[in-house]
Amino acid sequence: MKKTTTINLAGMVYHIEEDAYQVLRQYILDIKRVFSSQQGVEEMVSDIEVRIAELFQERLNKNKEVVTLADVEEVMVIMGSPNQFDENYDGEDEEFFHHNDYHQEQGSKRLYRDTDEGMLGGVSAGLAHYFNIDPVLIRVLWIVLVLAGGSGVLIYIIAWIAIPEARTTAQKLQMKGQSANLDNFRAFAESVTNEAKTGFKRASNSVKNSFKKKDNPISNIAKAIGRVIGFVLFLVGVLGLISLTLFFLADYSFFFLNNEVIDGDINSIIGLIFTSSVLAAWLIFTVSIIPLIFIVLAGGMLLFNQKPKSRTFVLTLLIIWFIAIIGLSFLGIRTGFDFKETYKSHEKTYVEGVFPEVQVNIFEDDLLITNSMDYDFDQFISITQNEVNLGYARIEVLPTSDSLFYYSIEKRSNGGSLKTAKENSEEIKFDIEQEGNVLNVSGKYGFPIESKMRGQKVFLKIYVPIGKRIILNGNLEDYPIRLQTRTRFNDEFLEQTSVWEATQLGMEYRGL
Amino acid sequence: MRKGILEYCVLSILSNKECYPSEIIEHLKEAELIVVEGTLYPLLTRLKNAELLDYRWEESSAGPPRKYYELTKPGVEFLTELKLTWGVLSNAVNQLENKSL
Repeated sequence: MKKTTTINLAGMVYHIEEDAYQVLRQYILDIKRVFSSQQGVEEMVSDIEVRIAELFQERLNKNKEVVTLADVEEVMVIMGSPNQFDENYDGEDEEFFHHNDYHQEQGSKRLYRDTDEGMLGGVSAGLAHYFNIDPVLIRVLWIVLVLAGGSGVLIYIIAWIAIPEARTTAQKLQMKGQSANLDNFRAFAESVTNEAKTGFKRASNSVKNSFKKKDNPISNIAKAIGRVIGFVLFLVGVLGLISLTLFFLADYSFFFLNNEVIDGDINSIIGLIFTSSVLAAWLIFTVSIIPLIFIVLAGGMLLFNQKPKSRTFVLTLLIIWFIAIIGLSFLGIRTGFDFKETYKSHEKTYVEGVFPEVQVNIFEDDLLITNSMDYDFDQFISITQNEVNLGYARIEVLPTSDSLFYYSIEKRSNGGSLKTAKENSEEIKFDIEQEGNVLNVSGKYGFPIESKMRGQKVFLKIYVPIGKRIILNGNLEDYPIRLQTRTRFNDEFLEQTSVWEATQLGMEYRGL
Repeated sequence: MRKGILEYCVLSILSNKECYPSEIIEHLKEAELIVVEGTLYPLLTRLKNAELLDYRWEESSAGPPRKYYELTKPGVEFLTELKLTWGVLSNAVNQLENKSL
């Protein structure tokens, strides 16, 4: 039993078997395509249809009312394949070359998306047919492009949109560089006959398989490489997903960023920077988790050589990802406006009493810094319950013609308006205490968590009257401290406690 | 070479009697001039585009309606020219063949 369909050929009605119809339709389309450059092609095709109708008529009688695949094949042999039509003709050069191209099996290859073999949009499989290489290699290349800056995602989407899908058999043949000639159609027709029971779709798949290149060592190696890369990607993706989720859900108390330790969980950090902290946290979570999901998917694809179950799922993720990126950019711009204005406050304080020398002690977390082991400059930021500690105040030591020691504290902050900038700067906490001739400086400055990170900075300048000395206690080699010296400042002097004298020309080293 | 000859033959067939494509094909097949039937159609289209041929439709009792092709005036003139050329050519070829024998 076979399904038939009805066609109108040159004004006559014919019953034709479904598979035979597909082959015939393809044949006529192909004629149209080959002669598309010729004037009056429609008329020519309708003439040919008349002839085909006659040939069908000869094959039909009272006992045989349906055109079969065998009939169509016979008719196609009688009529010849479209590129045979014109072999006697070598008219204008242009047309000659056009047909010459067509005769070459590889010459008429065109780029299509292969959605049958493709994983996502069939771009890789299509490109693989075009360049005659294994699609796995192209997929690996995509993943490399995606990982190296993400340009791959955009290029893939553009390719997806720009490259047409191979829908018809002729296009599928052309995609593989096989011209739609009689032999190939016959192979197609045979496979249709073989698999007519299981439906047309399966048949077209089997045609595809029968045209597939035999496995060769290179493609096996490519597959093996793909597997290994797929496994690595899968593993990396899964680990990434786990750690990212832990990051956001659990309160990780520190993490590393550019070799700097950040002491605080990620939600607080995001809250410190962005204006709408909850939204920002979600957006950042989305933006970072989707590529990881893609890495897992890509790894799985390469590892198991299988398509993702649902393309809609992948597309939805992609769209969500883009929306999140756009949202984050808007948030970033809005946050950027909070840095518009800068405010600097100066506070000048004289050291009470007259001393020939003043000692400077620098503390961190109430502990005196005596050697380089005492502090950890890698710690970039630390967040406690309601206070943020952000680095160290910069210290500069310079001579003054004044007769008394004094220091000035500059607190600087940005803000959306001058007013908020000023408020932010006033909220900066920086302690410096005098005990006799000793200045106790707590190196780190902080600010309340509510004022957010808005470029808060503290500069401490210590002025030494000319002829008087300053003692820098402990190893301050790694501390951001500068002394105004006559020659280039050498911080090797700071490896241990050092004494400096103010002169007209700058601070001069006076030994331990 | 064969291009011109095939066209010449088609025009000659049509000069005797107007025909529909299947008839032309039969004649050409008898003379073993074409292998696949499809060859005729682009040729007819070209001749018609060059206004050497014209056609009319006719109902058929046993199948689809038939398209009868006939020569136009320029078609007849062109055929006369071709005949002349052909005569000259075949004369020349014959002479050469006889000479060499």
